[in-house]
Amino acid sequence: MAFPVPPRWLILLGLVLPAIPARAQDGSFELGATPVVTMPPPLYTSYFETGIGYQDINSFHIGRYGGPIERGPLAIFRGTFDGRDAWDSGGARTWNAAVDVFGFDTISARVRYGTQGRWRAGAFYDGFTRAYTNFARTPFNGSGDSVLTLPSNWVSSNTSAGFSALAQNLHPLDLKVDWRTVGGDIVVNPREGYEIRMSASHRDREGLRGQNLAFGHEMNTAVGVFFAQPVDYQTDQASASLAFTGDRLQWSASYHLSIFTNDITSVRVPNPYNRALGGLWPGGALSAFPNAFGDYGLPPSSIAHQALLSGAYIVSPKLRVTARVSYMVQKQDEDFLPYTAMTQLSVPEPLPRTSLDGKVYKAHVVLGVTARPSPIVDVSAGYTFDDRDNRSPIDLYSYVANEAQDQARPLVPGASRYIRYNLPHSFAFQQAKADVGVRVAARTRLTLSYTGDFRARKYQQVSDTSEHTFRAKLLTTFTAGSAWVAYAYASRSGSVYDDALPWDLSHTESYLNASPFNQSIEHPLLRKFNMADRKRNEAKGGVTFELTPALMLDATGVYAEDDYKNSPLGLQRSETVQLDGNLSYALAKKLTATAFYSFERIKFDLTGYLMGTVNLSNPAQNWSAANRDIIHTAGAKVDWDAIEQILKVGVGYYVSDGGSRISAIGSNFATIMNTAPLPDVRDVTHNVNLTGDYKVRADTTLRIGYTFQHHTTNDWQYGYSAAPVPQLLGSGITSPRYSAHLVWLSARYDF
Amino acid sequence: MVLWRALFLIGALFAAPVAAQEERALGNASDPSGCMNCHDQPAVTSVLHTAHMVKADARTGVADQGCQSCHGDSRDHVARLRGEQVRPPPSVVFSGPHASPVEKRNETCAGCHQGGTAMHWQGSLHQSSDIACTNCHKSHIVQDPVLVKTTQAPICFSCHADKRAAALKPSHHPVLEGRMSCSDCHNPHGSLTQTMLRGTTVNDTCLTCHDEKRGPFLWEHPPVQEQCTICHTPHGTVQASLLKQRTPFLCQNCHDSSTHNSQPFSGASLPGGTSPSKQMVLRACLNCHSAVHGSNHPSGVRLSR
Repeated sequence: MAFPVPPRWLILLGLVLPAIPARAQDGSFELGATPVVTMPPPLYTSYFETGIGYQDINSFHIGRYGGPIERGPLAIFRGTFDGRDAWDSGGARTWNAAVDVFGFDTISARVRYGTQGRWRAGAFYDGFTRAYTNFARTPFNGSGDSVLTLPSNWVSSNTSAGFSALAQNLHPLDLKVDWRTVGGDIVVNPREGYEIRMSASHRDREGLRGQNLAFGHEMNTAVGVFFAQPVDYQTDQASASLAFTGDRLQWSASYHLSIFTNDITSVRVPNPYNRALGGLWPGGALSAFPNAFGDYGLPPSSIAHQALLSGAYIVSPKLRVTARVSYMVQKQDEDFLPYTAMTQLSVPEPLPRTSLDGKVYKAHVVLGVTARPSPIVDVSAGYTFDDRDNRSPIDLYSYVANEAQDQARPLVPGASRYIRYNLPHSFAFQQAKADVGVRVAARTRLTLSYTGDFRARKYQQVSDTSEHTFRAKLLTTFTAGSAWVAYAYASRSGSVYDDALPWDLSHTESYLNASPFNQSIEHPLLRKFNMADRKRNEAKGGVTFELTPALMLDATGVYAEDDYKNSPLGLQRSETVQLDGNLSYALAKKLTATAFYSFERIKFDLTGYLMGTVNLSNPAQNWSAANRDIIHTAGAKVDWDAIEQILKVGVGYYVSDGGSRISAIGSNFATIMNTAPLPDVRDVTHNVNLTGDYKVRADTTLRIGYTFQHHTTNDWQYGYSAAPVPQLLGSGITSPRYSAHLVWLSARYDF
Repeated sequence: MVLWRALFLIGALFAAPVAAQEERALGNASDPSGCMNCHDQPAVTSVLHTAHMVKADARTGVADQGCQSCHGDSRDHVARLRGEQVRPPPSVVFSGPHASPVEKRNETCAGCHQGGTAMHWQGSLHQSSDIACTNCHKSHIVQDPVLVKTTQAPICFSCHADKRAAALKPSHHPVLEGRMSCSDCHNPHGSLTQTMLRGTTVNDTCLTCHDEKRGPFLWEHPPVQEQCTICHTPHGTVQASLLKQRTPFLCQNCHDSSTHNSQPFSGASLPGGTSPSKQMVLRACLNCHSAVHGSNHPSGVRLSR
């Protein structure tokens, strides 16, 4: 049979067919029909910005987390240099450098270079100042050194009110600590799926912090002083890891090292009081000014090693198992200070050892499985074991309570309460949990969970606690948004509360037999809340709703209550109520606005017992107090493209208004607490931000900004002289109140 | 015969565009410029300057599939429209009114992003709450804001509004100030530790920065070693030093000593009151018991030195 189309028709077809796409192009669009000739417009991936700012007040509070703390000009320099080989060049190099300077107390910089998918290396520097207060005062000389001295014209007294030369000798202290961190990392991908990562960092913390040291006992004797503690900490950290990511198996093995070094072991503080010891202690007459002093021990250097193995395996598309195993060793072996540095006080008892030789071993295991037995059901289960085994040696220490506290020396074993064993606390934690999630409808998911927490504690009043938590959560999404509600109930109980256990374990048997009354340092009916029986209820919910295409609402609410009704004394109840609302508006990207409001109320109810007599069950000695914190937070922000591509304006405002009130509730001491109530604590900050960006050219922008902040704190714990009460040489710290203005002007160049 | 030839030619004329269109839809799969005929906005084309579009990195898939490596085959999206037909969206859409279901979007990302920090994504708090990767991440932007310390927090706060309120409280970690980010403590992609913390425990996370409290100490304060959050709330508090309650009342929850500190404190205990007490002003109990996190001094049994 002859082919129906003669060859010359095929030739004609061959001539016609290629023209058809071109003809189809005419008058209607065909995606990809014609290759793009011109590339997309240039994209600015890098910039640098330089400018100057000015702040009109000195305030440690306004710059307490790395902001400017001094009045005057401040330099602004920022920049990012970011680039990579063109996507289709066949190269995969990437590079990035970034710097951020806002006043020279706050500097961060980073560089990174590598070949994507092969390797990369980076380094960084980060520095900022944590400013506490510049309102502190001290009469001590040598702040920052390990030995402080009193001025030569110091007039001593039995109480701080008698320090007649105090006012003339007070000088200001800037309590702040500089944090400086430098580090780097290298990541190598030697072959597909594998990654080797090594990192290291060194951090310096240097400065002054407020600290206190006690010299004597209370009961109206001279007690303590405020002084400036030198901070000279170094932290060195290093990590190395090998990881594999495959289609079904992923794992990571890593080692982490952390070394904390403190070059200053103690601060010697002179005793400004003139109360000497009585006759119980040989040399006691020399325990007062000008001969007396005390050593405050600073945090000891320590080291920690951790080996960590983590992994996940996809058994099947519906079944996945995970695991993590970690072993950590923490050590501390700094030489002990003497019981007292005052050699004139006779302390014949030797130290049992020259250093602690402290060792803590932490074992950690987590196992988990997640499965999807059906398209609408997923389940997960997990087990966690965490053990802190403190194997520091236990020894008997004949300690000195305070250098101006009468103690009969030499100590008589069996009769003296100042002979104690140290208790190296250990903990073991186990958790079992299970979750079931069900898609009850196409876009609605119900999750039911159970968690069992089991804790064991060594040397504490409660050796074992167990807590069972049940949770339910319903989440639904709909066209205009989503909503969810959740409820949790938990019940905790524990073994018998043995209030005397820590006391008994830390004293010698001969002492306990000789002093049967002092079986516990606390009232036997007091229950420490982290170990006490507890019932917990928590209800939460949230909704995200698109009111209009341009207007979005988010709202969440939380109610949580912890009930410690089995605790006769101690924390009785805590309650938290929190409501958050957020409104976002976007009009074609020319105008975006957000507004938020948050309300939170936190309440703690505490019951106590006025001790001091043998009677432990006198109702007249019971008392209760309620601590209530209420916080209102609100803010709004508007960003407006006033002139498209040329002028952008931004306005932002927020207020944080937090207060704390403590009041008596139904106690025998309510009369005292009501006739002499504690003032409310209140901390209010108003902050306004204005910014303007004017594009002079496509790649050049002039920027201007203004910040106004008004802050007031009313806090009854501060605002007194340096001798606020007879038994205390204080700091004179007052609460911050200010109005501050910050303006800045900069120019930014994009490239 | 002529009729057969005519019919054949006519059929070829109609078939050619379809064939050519099929060829055009798939033939340029490795070249994003085809998609950018329409999608030429800087917000889209900037993807060419990101890690997702690197031909030389075989992991990205762009060498073989171009934009389809993430947005799927999208055959219907690239096909020629007929009559008044509305152009269907791509196979996988990550944002906007035509966004694909969360599971489908996340499946696309998880196709490459497994292991590492995302190893425990499955079953994580975010995954089980139907959070999409694109709720936080912007893959077309050169500098993803959630990966930058100074711009990450507002993204987290868009859902965790309570944490924004906490960050504005008088005592807080310096997140809003840009000195640290939420991801310094938390792994938002999932972790085997509670609340997706990076460390193996709460304390191990805190001790990464606050290692002067690691010890072990000769004299320990047990709640410190058990869990920092027994006394502290890390996101923000009205009280100083991130404490849940103000001293001395916080301490009185657990300590009702036979020697002192067992009385109810009131305004009478303040300077100028009838019984001013050192246990109320300044640091309250810490005016004496200042080594509250533990002491290594042989005489520090009461955490006073």
